[in-house]
Amino acid sequence: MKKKKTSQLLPLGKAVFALSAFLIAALSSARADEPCTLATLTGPYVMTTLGQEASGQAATLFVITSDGNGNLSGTGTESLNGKIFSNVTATGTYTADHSCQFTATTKDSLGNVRSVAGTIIQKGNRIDGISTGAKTDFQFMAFFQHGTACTVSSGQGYIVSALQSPLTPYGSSTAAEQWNISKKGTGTGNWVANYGGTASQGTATATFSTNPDCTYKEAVTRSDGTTANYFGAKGLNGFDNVIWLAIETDKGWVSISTVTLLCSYWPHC
Amino acid sequence: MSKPRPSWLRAHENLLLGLVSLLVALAPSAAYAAGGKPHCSLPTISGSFGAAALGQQAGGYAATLFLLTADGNGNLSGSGTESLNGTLFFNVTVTGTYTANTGCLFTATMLDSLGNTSNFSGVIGQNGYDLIGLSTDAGTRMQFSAYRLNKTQCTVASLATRYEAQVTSPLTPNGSSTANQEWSIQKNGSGTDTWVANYNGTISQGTGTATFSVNSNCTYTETVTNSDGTTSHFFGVGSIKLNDIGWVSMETDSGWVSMATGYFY
Repeated sequence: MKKKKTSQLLPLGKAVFALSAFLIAALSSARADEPCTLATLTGPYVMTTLGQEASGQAATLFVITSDGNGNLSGTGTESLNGKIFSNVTATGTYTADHSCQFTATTKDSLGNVRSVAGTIIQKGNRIDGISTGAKTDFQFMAFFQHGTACTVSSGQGYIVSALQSPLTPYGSSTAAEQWNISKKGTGTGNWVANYGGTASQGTATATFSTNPDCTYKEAVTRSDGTTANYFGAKGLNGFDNVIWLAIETDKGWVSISTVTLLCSYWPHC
Repeated sequence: MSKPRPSWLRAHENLLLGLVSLLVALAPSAAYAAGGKPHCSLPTISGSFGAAALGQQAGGYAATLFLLTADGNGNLSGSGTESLNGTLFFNVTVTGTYTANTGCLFTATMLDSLGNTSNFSGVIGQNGYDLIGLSTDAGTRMQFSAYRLNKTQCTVASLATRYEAQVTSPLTPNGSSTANQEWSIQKNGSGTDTWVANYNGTISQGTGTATFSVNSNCTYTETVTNSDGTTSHFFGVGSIKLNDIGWVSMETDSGWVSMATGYFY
């Protein structure tokens, strides 16, 4: 009886082992040095820019689809010197060379043209760069959006948000926040911020409204009585630690949030 | 003679091997999904860190990079390099204290050998391998990040691989600047890169060659000769290997306040 049971288990063990070997190989190949082509950048990306444009300080967040053939299209939100523009559309083109250098130019429905250049890393999962347009000086980053079908419970858990805000009604600002997001789309958090050289800290609550395409809106009420609103995109949880990106949508703010999981990497967690 | 394996182990060894392999393969993504409940204390922050700060102090723009040791009991010590409004200070030592609460928020106070006191506060991530924060001193606007080193003994070969680097330079002789670089570093300590830079709205691009000198404690110095004829010098901390970040470095040329983060290619 025992021997019969063993013979039934052996193929299962081999199958699990084979699956494991495949997964290990797939995961470890994520950092392989692969040459890049236009097709390396295929699918949806969440991209942000933050820095100086002709109009002053500016932040943008777009969900852009790359067709793998040099063309870009998408929608997003912009803060141009603190003036907020929602549901902005953009189209553009990009290049990607063998050594994984890229360039991209987009034109949005407001008439703004943005050109960037930089490096494709992690087999197209992440792109970093800088602006190359005249009279601009901003940083650019984009992450492949692995998840394209989200619910309000997507992203539930403990997260960390790092905020860079070159323009606020109180001067430039940086902040670090820690959030506990529930399955129901509510959150509680702790934050520390530095507004124009004055540090403050407190707690906050938030409500999230998540769209099926993984974009979301967030309304935050802080213990100091202030409120804040954000537009963002989820579903970035690939091999990188960044899971969401967001832009503040309150008038007078130019601010981008980069959200990571509080703890994500075995064996650290 | 080796002891015979028990019959139950022989019967299930393939399945056990398979399950263990599957757990190893899926562990990162499983932890990813969990999100990690915060539970921190002083020992959560222990070991060697590359600690970088960039922003504004009372005297102007500033960048500091330290190899910092946390003893797990609230004490900090280390040494590093500072650029205070473009004036470089090398081999600066620092001592300090830190707190870490159960909710994984931290504070840190550091006094350097130049007499500067800095206070930081923020969030402990990755169970103490990643600190994200900002300065809390009046009149300062510094962003702070610290990454725990993966190992504390390095050789020149430790840096060898391909990286992408994002460079933020609020102060250079040519205005503020951002840059993006793609590096290939060899085991012999030589490197080549392709870069694009934006100096106050003027774009330039080119290539560079570099030599790296790596210290046993995983700090390093780097000299870069660029195709436009310029040379640059850097002090860095390597062997981080967390969240796709491999190293942090700061430019050590007079007139520069600049910090770079290197990501695995």
